[in-house]
Amino acid sequence: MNISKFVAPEIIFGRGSLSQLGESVIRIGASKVFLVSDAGVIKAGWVDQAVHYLHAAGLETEIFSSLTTNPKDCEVTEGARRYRESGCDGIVAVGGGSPTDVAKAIAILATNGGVLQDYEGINRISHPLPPMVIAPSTAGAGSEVSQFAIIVDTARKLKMSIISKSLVPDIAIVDPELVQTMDSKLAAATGIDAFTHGVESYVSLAATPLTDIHALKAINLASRNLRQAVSNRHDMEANTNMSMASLTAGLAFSNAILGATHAMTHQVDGLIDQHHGETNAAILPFVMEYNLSACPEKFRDIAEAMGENITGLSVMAAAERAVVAVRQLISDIGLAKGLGNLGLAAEFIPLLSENALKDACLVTNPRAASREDIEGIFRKCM
Amino acid sequence: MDQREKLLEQLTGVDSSKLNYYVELKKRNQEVLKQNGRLEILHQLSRDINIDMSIADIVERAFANLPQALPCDFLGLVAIKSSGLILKALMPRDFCRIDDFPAHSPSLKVIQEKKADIFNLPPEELSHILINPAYPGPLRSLAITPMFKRDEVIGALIVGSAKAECYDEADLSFVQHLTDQLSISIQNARLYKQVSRAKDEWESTFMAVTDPIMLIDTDYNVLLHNGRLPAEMQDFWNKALGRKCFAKLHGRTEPCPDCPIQEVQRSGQPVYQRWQTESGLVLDLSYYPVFTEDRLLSAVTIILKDVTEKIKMEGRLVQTAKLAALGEMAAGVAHELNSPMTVIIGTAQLVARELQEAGQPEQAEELDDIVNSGLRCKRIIQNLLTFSRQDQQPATEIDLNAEARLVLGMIKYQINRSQITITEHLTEDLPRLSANGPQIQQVLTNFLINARDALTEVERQEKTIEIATELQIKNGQRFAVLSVTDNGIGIQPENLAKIFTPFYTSKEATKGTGLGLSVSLGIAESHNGTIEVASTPDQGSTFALILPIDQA
Repeated sequence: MNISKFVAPEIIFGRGSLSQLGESVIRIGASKVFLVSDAGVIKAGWVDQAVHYLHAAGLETEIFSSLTTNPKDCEVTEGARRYRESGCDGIVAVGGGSPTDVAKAIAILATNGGVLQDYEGINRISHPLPPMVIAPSTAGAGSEVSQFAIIVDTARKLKMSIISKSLVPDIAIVDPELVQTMDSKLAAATGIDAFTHGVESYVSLAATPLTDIHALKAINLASRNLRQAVSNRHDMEANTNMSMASLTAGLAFSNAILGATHAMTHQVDGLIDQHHGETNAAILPFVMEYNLSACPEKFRDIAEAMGENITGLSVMAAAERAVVAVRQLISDIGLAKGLGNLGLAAEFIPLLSENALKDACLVTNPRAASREDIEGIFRKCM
Repeated sequence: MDQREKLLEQLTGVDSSKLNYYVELKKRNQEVLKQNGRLEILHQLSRDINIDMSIADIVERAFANLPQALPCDFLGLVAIKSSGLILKALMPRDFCRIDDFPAHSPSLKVIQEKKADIFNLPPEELSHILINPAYPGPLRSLAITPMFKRDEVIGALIVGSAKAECYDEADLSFVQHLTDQLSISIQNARLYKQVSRAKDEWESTFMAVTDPIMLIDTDYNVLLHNGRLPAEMQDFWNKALGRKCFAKLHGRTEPCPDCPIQEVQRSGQPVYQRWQTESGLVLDLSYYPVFTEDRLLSAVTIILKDVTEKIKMEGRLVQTAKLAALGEMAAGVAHELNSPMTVIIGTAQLVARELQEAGQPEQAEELDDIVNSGLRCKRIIQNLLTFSRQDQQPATEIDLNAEARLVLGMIKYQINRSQITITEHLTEDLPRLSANGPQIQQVLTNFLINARDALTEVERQEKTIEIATELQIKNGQRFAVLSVTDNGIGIQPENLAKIFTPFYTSKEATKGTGLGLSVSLGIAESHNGTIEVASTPDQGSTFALILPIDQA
């Protein structure tokens, strides 16, 4: 490919940057804001704070928080109805990947109509979305900068990937203060999610120098700060670095796309209601092993970015160090569990493999994979 | 490029971008502007089309506005006729001819399916449209919409262009709107024509009646009238402020007492009334109620019929009949009296001669008085006989003075009895004229009786009646004038107009019939003459019978 494109929103980063929310919303022309969040974030007090900033800027608000982890299409339908009825003209999400993806999906239905299934896949959106500002409260999903929205189709029991550059929000406000209210388990799951984004986008077939910089930076920051962030939730340096890791990983994967890990976790998440980070942790090392031979140099770079000493090692040996280091990181933050432990029954593997083949993320995986290959990896992950 | 690379390109590639709100807004804006423009054209059209326009004019006006909204080389209106379709109107007017609409013709399809459609047909499918070679053809795009009258299809509107495939659904929807608008305009024009034709018919019927007709609402306002009011009544009509009937007809400021409209309102039935105007006209008025749909009186139609002439005629007939009867009686009485009078006179003369011979002349002279009185009776009887035969007598050459003396001879005695002095100023060399003598006598008798009656009601030292005849020359025409002047009570000016009206009388009921002067005027007019009256209250009156001497 000779021509590449790098799409990113306006990004406001730093502790206390949530205070920019009201002014940001006014700047993109909204007057009544549909604020999407969830119960945890409301409990932590971030929604009150966001509403305070919005009201201070003279904006009206309508709060929507009826959603769950791994958000469902029916929740989006209800949100879109509420959006239309309340007469809002802009969308703000404050929260993790779930509220963010729901906010994006509501935005699609708000101006395009129809049902969410109409927009599944790549570039199916035909009308611009309402103005959108996203303030993440976790450090991992990267959805605040990405062109992805992942929503569970409750009828088909799988995650629908909606991919469109129109899903990139207008403004991302990344305030590390928000992430400190996560508990350790969530910090670990979201952190490994960000790390996985970094690895998968770096080895992606669609990677470009612009995405590589962000991917390596994300790998580097996560591997050096995740352990501290998990063990000490009040380490603001670790929190800030993890926020940046999540942001850079988001910029990388949004433009370079992901790989087989995500093609597989999307299927598992549709079936068992576990945090996406935990399934990532269970699958990532085995997909890395599978991909190793396709681009050993890239895995060597990953090992190096993770601080492994690779001096004097052959490329392949150095690349293998990356897998070892990743296993160690996962183990250190307490996520070393098999898919079986997470509640996946082996009988579903053929079906999951079949569906994973159709996932868009598999397109950019560095090593081609057949149904049998995917099934093999799944079995190893159990 | 294989499937995988294509997907890769879609995911990351340059083909996809974040959709831009400004672009969307501009697109919407353009659509709105276009729509606005079209609405404006429809609006403009609805203002341009007048209610009295023909269908051809309406189509022409639409054609003038259309190119602003969409490509249009041809605009046609197809109507359903019993035998099929016809091209009712088109623009340009000489663009094409369609003699026959074949079964496959798009217009027929649209009309049958009652559904607008766009047609992009090859020229051979449209061969029935015979396009004038002066225009660029053939038509490659057609937008045809059904024209509805309520739910019924009455035709179709064709918008055509020589450009290929130039109409879309939005254009079709606009054409349908246009068609609906035109349909309304055409219906309106048609209704307007019907209504105005009906109105014209009624108006001309109304105006054609020569009797005055007016429509008056229940509040006495004149709503309509046919302008046939007689000249004598126009004075109040023209001077009245407002349009109340009592002001316009009677010069009153409030409704007339016992106005028939009240009775019409009460009974719901027509009411008839006879009315004598100040100017002496006699009118028969018919008041007909006009009801609303729910049987409420909304207005009253009044027809005025001038019956003055008819009344006069009736009066004359009565008088003539009376006179005829009187004449019969008089003739009978005169005949019966003639023999006794002859005996009286003869016997008196015989006795007088015998007394003369017997040498008693004094007694003989007394008998002479009997003889003379008897002779006078015989003359009166002779006159009565003459008078009674008037109808049979045709016009003859008469001497007006002789006629006057004849009458005086008959009634001078009666008048003298009332201490009235009669003087005669008869012009002796009056030319003879052609007239019905007895009728002239009748007029004069009437004048004299009226003069006597006028004098009996007045206290005066000297009561005089002057009879005069004279020759008058007016505009080179000669007239004989027979006038009777009295110094009696005279006539009030407001009554002057009425005196010739049949049955009008100032006398007690036992004395007058109210027919004398109207019959006299009738006689004067039948001689191509007239009667002139001059009167001053309390000083006297002059009645003059004026007859032309030279008949035309």
